[in-house]
Amino acid sequence: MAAPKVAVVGAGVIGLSTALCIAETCPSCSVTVLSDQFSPNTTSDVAAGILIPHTYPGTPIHVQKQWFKETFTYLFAISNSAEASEAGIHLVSGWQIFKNTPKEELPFWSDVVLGFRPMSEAELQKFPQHRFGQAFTTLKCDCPPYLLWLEKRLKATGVQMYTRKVADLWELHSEYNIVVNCTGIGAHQLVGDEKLFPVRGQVLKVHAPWVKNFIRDGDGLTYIYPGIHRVTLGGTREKESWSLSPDPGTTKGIFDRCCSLEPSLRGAQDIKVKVGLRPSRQCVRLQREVLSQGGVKLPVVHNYGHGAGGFSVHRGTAKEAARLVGECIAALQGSSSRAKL
Amino acid sequence: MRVAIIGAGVIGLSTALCIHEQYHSLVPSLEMEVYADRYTPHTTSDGAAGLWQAPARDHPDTLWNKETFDYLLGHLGSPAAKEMGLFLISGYNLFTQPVPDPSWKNIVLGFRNLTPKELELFPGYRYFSVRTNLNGTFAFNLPVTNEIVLPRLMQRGVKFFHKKVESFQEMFAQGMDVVINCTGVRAGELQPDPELQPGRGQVIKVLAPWVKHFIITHDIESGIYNSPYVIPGSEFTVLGGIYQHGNWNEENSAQDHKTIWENCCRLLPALQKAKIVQEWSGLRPARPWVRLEREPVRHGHFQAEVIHNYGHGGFGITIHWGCAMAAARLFGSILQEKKLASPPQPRL
Repeated sequence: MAAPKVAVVGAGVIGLSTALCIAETCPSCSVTVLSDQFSPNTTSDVAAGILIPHTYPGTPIHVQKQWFKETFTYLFAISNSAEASEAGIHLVSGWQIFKNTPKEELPFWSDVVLGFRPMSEAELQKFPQHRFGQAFTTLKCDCPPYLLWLEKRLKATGVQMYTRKVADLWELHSEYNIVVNCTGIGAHQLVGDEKLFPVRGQVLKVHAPWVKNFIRDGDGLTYIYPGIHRVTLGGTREKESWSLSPDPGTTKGIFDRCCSLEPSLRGAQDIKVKVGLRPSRQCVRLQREVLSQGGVKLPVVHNYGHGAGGFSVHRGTAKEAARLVGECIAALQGSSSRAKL
Repeated sequence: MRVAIIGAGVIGLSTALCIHEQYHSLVPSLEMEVYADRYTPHTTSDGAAGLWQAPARDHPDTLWNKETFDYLLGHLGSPAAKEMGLFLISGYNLFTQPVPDPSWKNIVLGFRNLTPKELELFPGYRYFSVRTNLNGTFAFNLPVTNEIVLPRLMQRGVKFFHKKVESFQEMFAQGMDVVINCTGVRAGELQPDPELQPGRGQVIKVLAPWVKHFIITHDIESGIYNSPYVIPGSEFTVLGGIYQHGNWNEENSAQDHKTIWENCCRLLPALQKAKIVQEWSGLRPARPWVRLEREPVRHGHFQAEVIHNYGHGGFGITIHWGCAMAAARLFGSILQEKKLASPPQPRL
């Protein structure tokens, strides 16, 4: 089939990186991104974008590790190039600290990040309430810069982007040959996925440029991630909460918890509060499906449900989604050549 | 007891603060004055990147470096830290040849050698058996610190004079009992010192807030500070790598600018989009070792004292508090000899 028409629904980090991978692996494809929201109004824009993976209970560890490694390698190369600042990618060192020694002292990603090691006694003295810690260097993907950079790369390869609310994937069947569903939390309504649920996160984005190292409590609830212009302070993990309104009590709680880890944050300026709904699932839904009505088929590739780990695995899942799109194209070509017989 | 401190860079101001803190309650008659022809932002200290990092050589100075680090570490959690622009920063020291671990490896936090993957970031530094290290050390904003310390000293009643002192005798003629000489690179104008030479440096200050690590390269051939370095501050990042021994020129050189810019961008390609904000040249007060000692001076019938505290080269920040405390101890011994302050009595 000449120039398969692929629609990618969703323009967060997953949608844009998937569209880019498809454009890269299938130069003959015509790729269009459709989304009701673009940066700076996506869930991704709220995220700190730090590369520390979330563990999906339903996905084999070796697969998660492969996704993370691909993402890390890809971003590492960008961070070391002249494009780093525009793309918003930079290295950052810091500490993950635990009040109680974790069951797993070596997480599956410890050999992917750089220089992973246990913290020394002297380093732990900075955190009197914590008894154990890990020090390492990882990457951070600042949003909106990263999404804007992806949009720029997409436009350069001829990908079109339109603001459009897709109410039903089937509505695209007459205009597109293949649909890629990167709608994140939107998939709950769009495809009726009951296994997908929001985990509400509130964060503060503050001006504190003297903070150069990240600090994360191993419980995942308190974290300090310095970005290019702002430091992200977090956070919350509220399962099944759909509220996008900032809560002032939560703001104070986050600020206090972060200041107890890094007292100099008391001097932080220009505090902005943001809320995002992590599109959470036991495992990322990364699979093909064929929708059909009245003999007409529409191949769909799903790539959503990354929860707290979107940035950490985005490139890996985008590549897999692009591979699945390739399979869809081959299947379409196969059936169209059969039709010719 | 009248004390004059000559010099208002990091050495002069920290020495003033240290002595005043320790002795003002023990010596009610203590009157302290600071004389300098240059104040912030025109001192040598103002151009410094402000990174604590001791020179690799093993030296008696090492204890002063450690004392300074511990002092700064102690202040980290305080509200003063943000005012001082004091913060922890991790980074890389890169070598082209194998080197032994530095003497300060247990002073900084989390010293370790780089992994092969990290070395990929710095291709020029891996074809030899390279060792590089990453440590949590300090950077702080010198102009900000000087602006904070000066008002604090004023609050304590220390007087400041914007004046070039021509001789120690001039101070003694004014009635000073002790003069503390923190004149840095131009100490030779007060008393010839052939060991003191300018170590000219030039830096480019840029806006590159995506750089979160310091990177210091070392090249035994070029010599210290003559190899590119990148040091992020709280607002700006300092790019450098110039050391010209014996060069008194404080003007910026276009050639040096080119050297710094090209070398730093090669080291860290992400710098190419950085916006240049300022260019600065200064003269490191280089000496084989710091001159930190008393010198009695006869003034008429009267025995006066000079305490010398200069010659800190490119590591003034790293060593300043240890030296200030050593100078304060020398001051204390002078007081004892004059029987103006008794040492703390043991509790019985």
